[in-house]
Amino acid sequence: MKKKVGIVGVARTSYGKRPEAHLQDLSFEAVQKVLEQTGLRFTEDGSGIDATVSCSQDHWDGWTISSKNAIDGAGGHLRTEEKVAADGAYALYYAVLCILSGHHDCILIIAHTKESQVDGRLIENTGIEPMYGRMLGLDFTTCAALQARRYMDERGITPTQCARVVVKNRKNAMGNPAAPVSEILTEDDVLTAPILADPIRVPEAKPVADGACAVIVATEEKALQWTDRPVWVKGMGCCYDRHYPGYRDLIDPLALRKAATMAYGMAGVSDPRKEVDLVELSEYFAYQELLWCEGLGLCPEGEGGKLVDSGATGPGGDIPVNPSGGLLAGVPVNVAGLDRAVEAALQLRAEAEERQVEGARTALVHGTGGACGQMHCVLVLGR
Amino acid sequence: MSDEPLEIVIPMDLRFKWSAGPHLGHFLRELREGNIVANRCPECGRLQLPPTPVCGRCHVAMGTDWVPLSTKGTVISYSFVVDPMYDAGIGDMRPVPYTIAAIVLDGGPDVAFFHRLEEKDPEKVRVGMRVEAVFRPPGKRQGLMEDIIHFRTID
Ligand SMILES: [Zn+2]
Repeated sequence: MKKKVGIVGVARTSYGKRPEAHLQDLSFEAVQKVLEQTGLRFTEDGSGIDATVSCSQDHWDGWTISSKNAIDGAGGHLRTEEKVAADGAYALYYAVLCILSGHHDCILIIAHTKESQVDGRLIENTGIEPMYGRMLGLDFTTCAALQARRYMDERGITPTQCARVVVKNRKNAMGNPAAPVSEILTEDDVLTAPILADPIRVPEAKPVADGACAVIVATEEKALQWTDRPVWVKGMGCCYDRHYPGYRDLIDPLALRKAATMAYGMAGVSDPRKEVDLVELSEYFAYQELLWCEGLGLCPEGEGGKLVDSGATGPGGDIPVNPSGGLLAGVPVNVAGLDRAVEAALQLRAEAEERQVEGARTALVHGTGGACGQMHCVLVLGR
Repeated sequence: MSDEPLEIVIPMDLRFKWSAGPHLGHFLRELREGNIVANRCPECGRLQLPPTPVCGRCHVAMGTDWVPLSTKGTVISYSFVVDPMYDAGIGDMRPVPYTIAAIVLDGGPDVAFFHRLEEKDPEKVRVGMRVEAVFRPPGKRQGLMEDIIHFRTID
């Protein structure tokens, strides 16, 4: 990238169920934390935050133009606020573009979702086109099950390899104070757990989570002025595939490959396996971590299973994937991709405590949305 | 004064009247007659199922090059759904377990068709099995995906 955009602050709530919290409590909590951390305020003279980009979804909030739930806490009162109604990684992507355009110098990004207030599978059923897929009762879980089966059948991915993702991420989550999951599972626990939509078992699906996370990005000049540990957005790309999963070859995450190629090209990454120190990706289901690793070019096509078997993606491996525990640790939708950036930034600032990847210099951030990964957003962050 | 968390339950029953439009509309009218049709992109020649007005790949209008597909096909993926799920097709939670499948219909190799299988025994379903659509009786079809009851095993 010609101009540099720096992350100057990251913060979040914990992601457990929050029956006591109004939607606005969640986002305001994360915003207050990031303001306190950076000392920045909402200003009009260029001395602080110029504008807000929020990320939430009307269906999840049960409230159209869902950003208005959070507008005051997000610093949107009589100010510029724009909503990205997709995954939080897209909100970061958009905020970076706003800065690269020269229109703003500093942006607060805030994502929130309170999954526990509604049956999420009803919401995800409405994420499917109504007259064909929705009439069949398809939702993101049943679509994922069809993708998982096809991936396992065509590539020889085993239930044990998927279970290993759960075991790894659950263990990693123990070092992540924001993660609501509190139980380490064995492979056997996963392989004998209740089925959700076969071949997917309950612990292989992202748990219900509530919460918000906030990121502040700024121009190079301001980032250097405001923090001694800026994290730079080095490259980014996003790509959509077609809506109907039946139109896509579900074992080839083409949109992810294209998004990653854009991000790598911009960041000058030619061999991600060698040049990236850690990956925070969005695995809504265990098998997706393996498939997304393939799409990100971390291993050859069809070898996502071998990758987890080798231990390369575990702690101390050559390419740790989701040292935070990933989405299987419990991260709200929409917040998901932005939380990946929060985790990556903490790693690059050497503030990831127990889950720190030693000497991390370059991290991959991935967000996705839609059934079976219809759209993907990839960012390369570096220190 | 107690400060227990208050959670207010408000149900929402939203009734939409969706227009199927000419392309999906044609598909659903054909379904009502017991046929499954796709449309073919005039540029890349790929079939679209369900039919849409535009080919995303070529960004051209799909037109009306209708291609009848067989109601028989091959299962390429399936799932036994055991966690109850709201189903717009019946307006309620669909009784579990049921089997949802991705099926490549004969004559339609570009795309997978989704529907339920009659077979609910996990031991008897496999990728590659041959299946055939079972339609509701002619007078009972409404131009909905539910006009197909399920796909039955044929080998
Ligand atoms: Zn075409």
